Amino acid sequence: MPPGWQVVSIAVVVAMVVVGAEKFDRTRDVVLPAIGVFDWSDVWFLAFVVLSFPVLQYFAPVRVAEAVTILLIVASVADLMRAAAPSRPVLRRVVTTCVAVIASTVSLHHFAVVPRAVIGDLLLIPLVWIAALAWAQTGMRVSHLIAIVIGLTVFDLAATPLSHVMGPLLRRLGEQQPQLIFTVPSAHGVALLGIGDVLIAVVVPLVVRRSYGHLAGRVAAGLCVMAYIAGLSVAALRPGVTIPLMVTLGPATLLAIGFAELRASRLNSGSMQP
Amino acid sequence: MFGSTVAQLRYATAIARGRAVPPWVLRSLVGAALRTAEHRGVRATSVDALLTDDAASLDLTRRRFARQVHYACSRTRAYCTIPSSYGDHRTLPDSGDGLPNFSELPVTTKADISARPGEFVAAGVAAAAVTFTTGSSGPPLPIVFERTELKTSFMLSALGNVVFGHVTAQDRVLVAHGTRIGLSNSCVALAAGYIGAQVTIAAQPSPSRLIEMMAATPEPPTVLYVHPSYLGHLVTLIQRGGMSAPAGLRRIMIGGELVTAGLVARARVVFGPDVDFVQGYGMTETWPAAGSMCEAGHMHVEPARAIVEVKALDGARHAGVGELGTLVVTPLLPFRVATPLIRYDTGDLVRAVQQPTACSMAGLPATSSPLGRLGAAVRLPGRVITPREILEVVEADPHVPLPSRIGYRRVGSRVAVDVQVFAVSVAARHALGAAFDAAGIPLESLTLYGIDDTLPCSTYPWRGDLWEPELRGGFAPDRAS
Repeated sequence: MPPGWQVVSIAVVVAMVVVGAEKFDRTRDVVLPAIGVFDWSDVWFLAFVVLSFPVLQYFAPVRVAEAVTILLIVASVADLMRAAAPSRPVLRRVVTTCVAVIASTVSLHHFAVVPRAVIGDLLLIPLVWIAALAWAQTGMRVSHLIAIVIGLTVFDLAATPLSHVMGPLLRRLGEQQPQLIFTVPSAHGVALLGIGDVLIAVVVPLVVRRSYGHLAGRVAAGLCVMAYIAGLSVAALRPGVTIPLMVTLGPATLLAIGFAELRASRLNSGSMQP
Repeated sequence: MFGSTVAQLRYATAIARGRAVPPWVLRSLVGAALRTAEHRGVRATSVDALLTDDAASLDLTRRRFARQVHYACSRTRAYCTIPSSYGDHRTLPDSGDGLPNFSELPVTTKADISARPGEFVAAGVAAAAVTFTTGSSGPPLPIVFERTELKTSFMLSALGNVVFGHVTAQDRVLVAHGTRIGLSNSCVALAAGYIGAQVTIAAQPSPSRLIEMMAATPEPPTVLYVHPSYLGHLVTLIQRGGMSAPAGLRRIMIGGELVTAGLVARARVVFGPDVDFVQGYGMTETWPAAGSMCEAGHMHVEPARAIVEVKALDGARHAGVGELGTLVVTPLLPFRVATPLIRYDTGDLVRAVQQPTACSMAGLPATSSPLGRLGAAVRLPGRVITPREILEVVEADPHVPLPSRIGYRRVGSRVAVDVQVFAVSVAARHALGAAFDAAGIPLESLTLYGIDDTLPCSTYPWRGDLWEPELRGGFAPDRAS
């Protein structure tokens, strides 16, 4: 696949994931924990997870990592379906189907790269959606988002030069079945796309829309997808090199929030005029 | 969100293992519940179902009962003679309901505790508080509590109030219970404090004094805790005494005595349709097991805190569905540590109901609402007339001042009833007589007494009559000056 088409196809998929999450958020409430809201302790918890995840992945047995991934995916699919169709038979069917798909994915170690990658990516989308929707619907605020985005950008910038650490980690994540990283077929095998980057691209428009309105949300979604295209374009030009997508996604997020804040302050000051 | 999820899991683990719930878990849960209530609202029918997301998973009745028996056997002199096989769920006898019959493992009565209170206190547990029962059904009994179980029950009370929406941080809570209700008063006050509400403990002054206090408060209370009989005093005073109903109330929490439909209806007229009446059930001996009333009239108890059984009146067996019996409660670990009671017979009449019930609290064990004390029931040939049956008739009648003053006794196969009314009249006699007939209570006689008359024998004592005396006179002049 030529690099240009690869960028376009990934951008289209990411845009569909972002728009899909936004549609779902406007029509349905996911099954949230009975008590609990997203607060600053969760930001610290995420920071802990981001920092400890590579270490865990490095030292935990592959089977353990795969079992955790399966649990996460099944829980996410079930949660989404309970929100979309709360009746129990639907839930049971969906969970059964999901388990069957995962089982087949796991068993197809010798399957061709492309179908396996597509199945893995499709299973990951509910996981990304449910995390983003749960955070947005339990009260994630713009201030939380700014802290997370800045933290992740710094982490990406700091971690990427450590390619001798991150490279094997990404490869290991890509080889897990089911995978915990988006794998995209490319001219040079597969390109690996971090789940955190996609999660940020999905959650930013949701939180911005809830805080500033629909227009701000759409602008944020557009900026996130454009940032993705920019990052992927660099990656396409330099195959085999790890590109920290947060370097483009982080500023795009801050730009979207800045735009929304500026617009909101203008609207507010306008409304105060006699 | 992640922190409260971990706390919920830890809470469920503590309950399943019968271990103490760590304080950080309780703090985290109360904080999370408050933030959630502020963010998106939280409404549930059960604290345990809410926390663990599956009430059925807690229904490990047999296992938890056996563990409680084992604990009581090994720690108290009162229960040390129970065979060790009862302390293991695998060898625990099963009478068909999962638990042994009452002939195999008899109930504990108030008389048992009264005769040897020290034998029920667990060895090796440091007593943090000794609370006496109110004394409405016999001499006050001392019940010992340990520090952790008290703190846990206070925090869980706070959590329950947030979850059910009974008390919010914006509320001003006024507790008008007598000072003898020490445990309940402390629990309400501390729970409201954890929630962030404003609390006033007024004890139980005369009803007119309470209304004056409520009117004099800069910001009037929004939630009022009272006994039903005291509420009756307020209703009568406002209706007949010329005082105006306190403004600003949004909820009245009533419990500790029978709450009749007539009382609630008459109180609603006085306090307005916007005031919500919430009924509860609890007693010191079975603390912290508390009953909540559902819309279908059932009383539900959180399964994690206690096992509830209904003992048939005519034998040592469990009552069948619809059958009258007494409520038997076994408070469970980790909520009851210092004074473990196995199968405490409360003496309160209830009816066994079909489980699971078809109501909003279907996940929780249920009985009918309390029907009154067994000692105050009238046993007729082939039938038992419960105090509730009589009180429902009397308190619904507007001729009767609240709280109702009644006396009743069996005469042959009928009942003789004495009732105090505002004014003895033919209309009052006719209305009450017709109501008793409609309720199917066979009357031998119905004697009415005026409001200034004294009944020859009053069957039901009321907690609401325990008004606190007031200091009289001023301060003595300063002699030095």
